[in-house]
Amino acid sequence: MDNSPPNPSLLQAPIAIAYLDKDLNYIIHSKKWCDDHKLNLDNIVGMNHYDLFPNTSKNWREVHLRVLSGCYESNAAEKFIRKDGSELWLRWSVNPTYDKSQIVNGMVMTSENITESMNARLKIDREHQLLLDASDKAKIGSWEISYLTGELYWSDVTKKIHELDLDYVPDVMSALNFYKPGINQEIITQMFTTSRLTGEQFDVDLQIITAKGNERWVRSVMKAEMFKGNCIRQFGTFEDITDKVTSDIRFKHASKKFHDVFEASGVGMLVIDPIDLKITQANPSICELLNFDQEHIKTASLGEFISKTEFPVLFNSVTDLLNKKIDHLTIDINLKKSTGRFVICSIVGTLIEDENGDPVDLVIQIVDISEIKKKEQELKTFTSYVERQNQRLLNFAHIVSHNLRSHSSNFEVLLQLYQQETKEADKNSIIHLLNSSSTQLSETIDHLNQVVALNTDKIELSTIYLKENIFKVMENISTNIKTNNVNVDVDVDDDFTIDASPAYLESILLNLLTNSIKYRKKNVQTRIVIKAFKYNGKCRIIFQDNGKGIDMKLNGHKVFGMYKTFHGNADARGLGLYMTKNQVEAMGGSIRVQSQIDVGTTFKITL
Amino acid sequence: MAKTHAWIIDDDAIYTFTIKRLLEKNDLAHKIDVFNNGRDALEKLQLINCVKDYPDIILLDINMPVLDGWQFLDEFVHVADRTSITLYMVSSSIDPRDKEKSKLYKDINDFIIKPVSVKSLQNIMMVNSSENTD
Repeated sequence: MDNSPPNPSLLQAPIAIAYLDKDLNYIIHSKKWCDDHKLNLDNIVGMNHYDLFPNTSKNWREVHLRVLSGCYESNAAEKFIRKDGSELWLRWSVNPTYDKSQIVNGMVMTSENITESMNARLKIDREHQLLLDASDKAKIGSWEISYLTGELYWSDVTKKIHELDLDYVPDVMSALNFYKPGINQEIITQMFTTSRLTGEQFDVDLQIITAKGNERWVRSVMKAEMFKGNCIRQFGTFEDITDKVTSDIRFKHASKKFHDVFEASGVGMLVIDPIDLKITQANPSICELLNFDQEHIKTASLGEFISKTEFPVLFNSVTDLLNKKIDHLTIDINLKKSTGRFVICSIVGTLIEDENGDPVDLVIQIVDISEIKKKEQELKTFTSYVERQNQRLLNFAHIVSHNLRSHSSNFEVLLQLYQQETKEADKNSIIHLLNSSSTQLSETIDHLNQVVALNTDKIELSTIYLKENIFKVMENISTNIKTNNVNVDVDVDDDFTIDASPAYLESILLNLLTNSIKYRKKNVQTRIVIKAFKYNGKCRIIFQDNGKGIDMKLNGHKVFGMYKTFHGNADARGLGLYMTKNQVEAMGGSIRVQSQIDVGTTFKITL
Repeated sequence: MAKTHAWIIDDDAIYTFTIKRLLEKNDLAHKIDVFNNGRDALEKLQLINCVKDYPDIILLDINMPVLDGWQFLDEFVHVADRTSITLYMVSSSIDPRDKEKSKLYKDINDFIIKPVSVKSLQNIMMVNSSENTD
């Protein structure tokens, strides 16, 4: 080794190098030495090292002493902190120099600033470590293969995923063989090779067969570290995603099932945006129900199928559902068909939420319940019919209980008295009373026959001229009308027709007319007004008199009752209005009364 | 013996005749007034100024025109000093609802079902006259 002080051209050398004598005075140096050590001087020949680096540590001083005693000192990478606090990585060497007698006469120092490459290296190491740490925490396995050492490393988690013992020693071939034979092995082998050749990064979901023969889904991420076009290291993560894949598969199954049910369901179904009520999906059943094609429904809003009057009902229900006031939407609502007609439907809706609990879809099921509603209506009609029949039976029982019994008890007491009476005159008067009792009994039995005969079943209605019939009835009681000087004003068009049973209509008119005459006010001209007009597609007959009137507060609830009389007239039978009401109802109509004492009474018949 | 003043409120002429006759023949009342409906009786009651002119006993029917038995009672409860009057509901009705309803009126002493026998008339009057002598 030539240890003589080198040529002064060393000044331009591209490395930091300096020759110093035994006292550490600079003999010669490269300019880069001054630059690297930030000395701000170009020429330091003759200057002392410790003067230039007054903070030289004890360690360095010892190094210098050791070198001067013949030792070779070096470090491949050592960290220094500069005066300004910045980090500096140096690869350095300090070697002794010798004179011709092979005696140490100084030293040669070289240093190379490797801060940049060190930082890059550390960064990779740090990332690697972070990856390993994170992987372990997240139960994600890791692996690493170094082509410098040929060593394959598997983390414990990786081994666990493979269902291997922790002391298992992996090799590349068997590692790849854990992948499910076929496409899985082909893919992983291809990627592994490509990554090694090109440094390309891969992220792939594949299936493996574990050491225990179980099939698992794994996510494999691989990276490669390249150095001068050669791969020096491959590493990556290894994650068991069986549960996720399984739930993904389950979700796909569930979605498919929903889709199948949706398409095949006999019940109408819609998927709706719960916020703006836009329809996003419509199944064939709802299309059939509403008689629209799918494309039309899918581009519509639910509101378009609901009348304006009913829309708030739906809107409020959906609002309640969104505000979680109710769990399900359950309403009966009319939906508009393509024909413009409405069909009554029962709607049940369920809100579908995303993982944040925000509403995504409103799935509603729609069933045409018009048949049920029709049946319900029929049942109601039938029930009210039965109720009316029951009421009639009760009234009937009441007559038997009350009216017949009052006659029989009169007979009984009269007969007792007859036996006690001694005078012929008294006996005669009792016989007279027995006679009248017998007449009354016959009358009561006649009433019962009328009630029994009252046909509340569907009766035959025919279209008849009203005015003609009114005149016919008036003709029958013309004597009564004339005798009592009654003025009947018939304000009905000649061609006004009404659908009614002729016999019932006659009976009703007769009853109302005779009632008005019977309960007329004696001191004024009796006036009866009969009007008729169409009202809401039905016929309305107004029958008005200026008679005594009925105290509605006292007896309003009894007007149409059986055997109810209000005026104490001797010829009041208390049956007429009861019959009238039943006859009107038998024809599917209704009758109402308004009355005021001393002003008169108005009956309104709707047929 | 009879110092009893009786009112019969009933629209059945034959019934009122028989009751009147039975009371007279058996000397159970010294004065009998008959009213054909509740309104007539009520109006008469409202005209009486002196309690001693009130009837001692009222036999009240249910089914009557103008003002029936129940409606009469609804007005009767407003009559002051009515405690001196013993009131019986007398009806042909064997409808249990009528009997139940009569229990709701404290002023009704009893509910008698027609026909009224001499014996039950005697009982009614005896109770009443014994009350009067107390």
